[in-house]
Amino acid sequence: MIRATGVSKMFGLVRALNEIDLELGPGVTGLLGPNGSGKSTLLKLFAGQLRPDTGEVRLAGMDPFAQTAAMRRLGLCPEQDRFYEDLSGQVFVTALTRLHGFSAAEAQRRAFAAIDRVGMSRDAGKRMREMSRGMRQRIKIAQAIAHDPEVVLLDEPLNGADPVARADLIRLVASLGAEGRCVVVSSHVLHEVEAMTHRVVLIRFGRLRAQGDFLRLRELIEDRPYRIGIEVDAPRARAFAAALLELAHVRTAEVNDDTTLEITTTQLDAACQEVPEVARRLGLGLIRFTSPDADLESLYRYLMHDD
Amino acid sequence: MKDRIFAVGYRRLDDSPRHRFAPWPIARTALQLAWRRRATKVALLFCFGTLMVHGVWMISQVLLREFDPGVAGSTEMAQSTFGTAQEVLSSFVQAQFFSTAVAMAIITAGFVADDRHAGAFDLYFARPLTKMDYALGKCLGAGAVPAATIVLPAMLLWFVAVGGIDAERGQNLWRLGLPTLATSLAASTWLTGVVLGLSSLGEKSRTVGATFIAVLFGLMAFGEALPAAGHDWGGYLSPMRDLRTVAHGLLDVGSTSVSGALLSRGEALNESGLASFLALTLQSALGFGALSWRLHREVVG
Repeated sequence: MIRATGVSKMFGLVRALNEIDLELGPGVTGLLGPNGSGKSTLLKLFAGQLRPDTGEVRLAGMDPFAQTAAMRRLGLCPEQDRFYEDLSGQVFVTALTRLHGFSAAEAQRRAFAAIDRVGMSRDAGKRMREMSRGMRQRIKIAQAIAHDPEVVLLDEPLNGADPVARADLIRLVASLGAEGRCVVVSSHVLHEVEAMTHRVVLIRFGRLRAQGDFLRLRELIEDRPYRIGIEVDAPRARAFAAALLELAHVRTAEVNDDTTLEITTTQLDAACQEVPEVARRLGLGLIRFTSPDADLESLYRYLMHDD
Repeated sequence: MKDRIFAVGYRRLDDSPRHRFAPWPIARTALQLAWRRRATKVALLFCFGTLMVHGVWMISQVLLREFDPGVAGSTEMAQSTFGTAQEVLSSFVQAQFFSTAVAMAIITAGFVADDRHAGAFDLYFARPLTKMDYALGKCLGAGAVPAATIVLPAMLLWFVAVGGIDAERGQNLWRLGLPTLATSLAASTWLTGVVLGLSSLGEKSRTVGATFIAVLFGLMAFGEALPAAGHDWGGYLSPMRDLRTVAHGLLDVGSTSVSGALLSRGEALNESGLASFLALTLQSALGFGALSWRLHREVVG
């Protein structure tokens, strides 16, 4: 649904994006990167609000910058939190939906449906100035989905939302992706992106660092073995460590005390299968078996902070 | 992307044609926002007051002519007291130009500035809109104010003048329709163009509104002072003087009556009506140009 080929964008002497090649299909994709990495610029290019200096962007087969028809298929939830403060949420969403060419009645019906979907039916009559940040985020998302777009771009959609609202919004975003829409979520909050999707695009200094399922991407980082913390039910951690070192994929084993140890392995899947077998063979029970390295945060840390 | 684990297909939108006029919802939203402010209603009431004064003036004329006692000299006396329809129409457009300028400063000053401040360009242009649609929408919204306060009431006053007296005596008033429309349109275009131009340069509606009034009075001050100092070309800077010249030229306003003198704001005119019209058009064009420049800057990035 979205394809970027060799896309670069300069702002004066600053190269915001450098030779980006991407193809995003249906489902949710997390767009991750530190501040100034080029995430918002990339979203603006997808939304046709910027023209690439080189390369091309296609949204549903159309050039979003040149063809306004592409905008019928796009829903954008921008990052900024400034609105027409005197309008009610309902009027705001209806007014923006009308810009898609719907009649007043149809726009109102769609606005109602979208507001209901983001869980704001009860407060939609409030003026924007009277709404909390989380409510405004929901209204922003409602205006992005009211016209039923195929592509939804969400720039920091969880900013300011309280924990309950965050959980609701995460479910909403995941459901939009599950419907077959191409949803791109730009965010700093890694565990929230992880809750929405496993598919990520990592950008740093305007360059694409990685894209794909983050669990598979993590497997590809061979020079950074997974750390696994283990606790057993008997004071035989030393013997257990010695047995684990015989496994081909276990690099190191470090005994912390009589019952806890930490190993490093190059193959998390194999470790998950074989470590319990070794424990059973030695007559040990596993109390804890955790890997702090198998999440999005560790992937982000390795890819974005190591040069 | 290589890992298509979410490849569950996608639905195409229903592409049934929607041919609604895109600028209208933009204008509607802008006016809707303005209507929520109390100041808007007060400003429109002020404009309505100007209309009422001129309405009473025009009706007085009509009634006096209708019930002409036929006494020698009574017609001349009535005319010297209440003037002519031309005079009422000319005075109305000029007076309402002021009232509407104040109303525009309150109602429409934020049309583009507020969009910039609210970051609404991102929201607008993530929709199937062109820059032209946006500009037209804002022009429609801003133009609706002087259309409602100057153009329509001016035509209403003309209808009163024409319809209030018998066909024989009202015959020479019929020809005033087009000049009245042209004069009021010139005033409306100036107001719309300049306020939108300033709005597209600013980011706060109050600042824009104050600047608009300052620009109007500044130009008027220069436009009156320069000709007085011997620089006749300076008169074309004043939109009020230009408008007065255009009104006098088109409506062929004759001598000033007692009523006209009470409501008049001076009689100094520029030499050329055409040049005055061009000066008004040029100033409006500068405003529209500023709007176009802003859109180009904001949208092209």
